[in-house]
Amino acid sequence: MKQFLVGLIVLFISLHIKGQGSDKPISVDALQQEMLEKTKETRSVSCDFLQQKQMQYLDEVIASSGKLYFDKKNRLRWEYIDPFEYLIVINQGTFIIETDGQKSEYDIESNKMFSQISELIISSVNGTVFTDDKFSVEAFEGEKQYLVYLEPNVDELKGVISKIKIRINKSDFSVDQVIMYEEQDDFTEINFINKQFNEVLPDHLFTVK
Amino acid sequence: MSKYRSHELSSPLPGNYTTALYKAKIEVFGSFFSGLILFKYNVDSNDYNIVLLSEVGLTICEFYSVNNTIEVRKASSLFQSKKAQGILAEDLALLIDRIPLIKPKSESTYKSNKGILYSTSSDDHIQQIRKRRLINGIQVELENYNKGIPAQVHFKNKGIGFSMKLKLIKVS
Repeated sequence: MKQFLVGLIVLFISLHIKGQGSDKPISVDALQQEMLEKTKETRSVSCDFLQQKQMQYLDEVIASSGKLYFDKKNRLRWEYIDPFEYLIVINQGTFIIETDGQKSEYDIESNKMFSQISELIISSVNGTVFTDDKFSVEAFEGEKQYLVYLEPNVDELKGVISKIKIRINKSDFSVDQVIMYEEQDDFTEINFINKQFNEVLPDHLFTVK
Repeated sequence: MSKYRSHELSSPLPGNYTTALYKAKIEVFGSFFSGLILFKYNVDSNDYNIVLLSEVGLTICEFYSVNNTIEVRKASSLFQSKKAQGILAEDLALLIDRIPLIKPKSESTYKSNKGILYSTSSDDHIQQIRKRRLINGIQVELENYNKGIPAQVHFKNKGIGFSMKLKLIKVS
């Protein structure tokens, strides 16, 4: 279940880098099975996130932060708080975006993009993201983390993201970091911190008034 | 002959800064998008890079401007409409293009040699920009200047479904 963060990534990325230094390649299927086993008791995840958009050729970094909630009912709240407010909620087939007090609601099934996003998130939750044929996947084992690299196979994603790098904590199999690479030297790094597991997440977190 | 003196106006950006980040809400032909727009001014080369990106960090479109000429440098597959790219570039250029010495039509309204009208406040901040096009036009409202930078900018393209609201997030 903690792998849900993997799916979020897809919202915006993909990958094809190789493991670093002493990281050794491992079986993607084996990693997936281990994650499924270790996270099967996880009912919810909440955490803070720190995001940095790096534009190296401009020597510019745009930093933002917020909170993320996800539960076993496949409900997601992804909330940017600083320096701007922006909210994404996925709940029961509906994709909701709220910004500047204005709510936009989309039926996931009626929108190809949101359908893909939703599918990816759910496949992350049930552990099938590693076998999603939209991505080529490689996995490596480091000292404290697993590294998973995703590279999109479909043109729609290739036009947006070149690769995705995910760092998975070996102690609890949660996602510590996601890096989404674009063309050239642009990338967005998201670090997930202060993780809380199995807290009761009230329904109002997954609604937008 | 105008009774008012010729005047040189400062463009709304960059003010005293090299970087300005705005939250953007854009209507493109009936569809609404939100995102961020980064204006980056390079003092040494006197040029601008402008980047439109999503809140989650994906670059959507990049523009480059030098000597009052703006061009699309890169556009992701999420934003491939050449027409929309062109309108956006032309609108954004109104904030950064150097404004030549122009003669006022009234005490607070100036008209450039390109036919662009600028209305200013008593402290010479541009509050409104109007530009006519062949079959439509663009009107820009600039509000709440903070340290020389407009905190809110509202673009209204007449005759086409393209508008944009910018809200200043930070400058540096």
